[in-house]
Amino acid sequence: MSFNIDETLKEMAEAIKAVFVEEWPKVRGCVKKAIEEERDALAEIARVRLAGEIDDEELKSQLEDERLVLEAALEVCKLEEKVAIQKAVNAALKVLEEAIKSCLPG
Amino acid sequence: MLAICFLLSAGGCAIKLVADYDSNTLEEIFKVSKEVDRFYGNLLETAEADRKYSKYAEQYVNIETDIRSLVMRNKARPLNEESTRISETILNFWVKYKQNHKEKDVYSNGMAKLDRQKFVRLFTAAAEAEKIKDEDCNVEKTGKEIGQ
Repeated sequence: MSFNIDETLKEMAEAIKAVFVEEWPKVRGCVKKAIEEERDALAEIARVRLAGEIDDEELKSQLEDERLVLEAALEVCKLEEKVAIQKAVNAALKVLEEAIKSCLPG
Repeated sequence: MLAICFLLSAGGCAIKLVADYDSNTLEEIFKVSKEVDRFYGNLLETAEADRKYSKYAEQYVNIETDIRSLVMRNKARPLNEESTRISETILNFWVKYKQNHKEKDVYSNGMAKLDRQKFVRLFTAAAEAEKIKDEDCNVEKTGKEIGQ
């Protein structure tokens, strides 16, 4: 039995696509959640400032900190993305493995 | 080609882009998160005028030590950049707020509530980042199954 490179590549691409169809919504959902939580945090800071519970200097400090908190939340989304890529690559390699095994004698 | 077959048949993930999941690290995240939240809970129960830094100095040091330990634990693991950055952010905030408290010798309700909530969000991110690593690196579907 000969090794059909074109067919194998096609199946590897389908495997990658199937993983991304399943995994990419998780990445998008993660980013959306991070932005929504940031919006809520900024609204709370504004409320607290308007209530006079913090002054302008403290407001500035809180807003500076929020940039870093958002970055931390987005690190989680970067991880989701990496896991999606990891799964996709491993799915494609599994297809390749099976194709090679099917060509080996015995 | 034979080398690829050997690699693929070795079991587990052929390609790893993220660190392995570590349940001990997840437990440590929960433990330190609880310490920080208890710190703020106790602080907020105290009248603002009584929140002198000296009263909290030892707790600041103890918690900082635990957060530094968490940073070191994350740094020691390969492919763990995201979790390392999150834990470093937690450490930097803790040191910053400790310094603010020390310099001003006061910690207002407004700032304490906002800072407490930031730590909740940061530790949640740290826990989520660890749990993501618990996902299986392989998927059930292969190209052949999809084509059928």
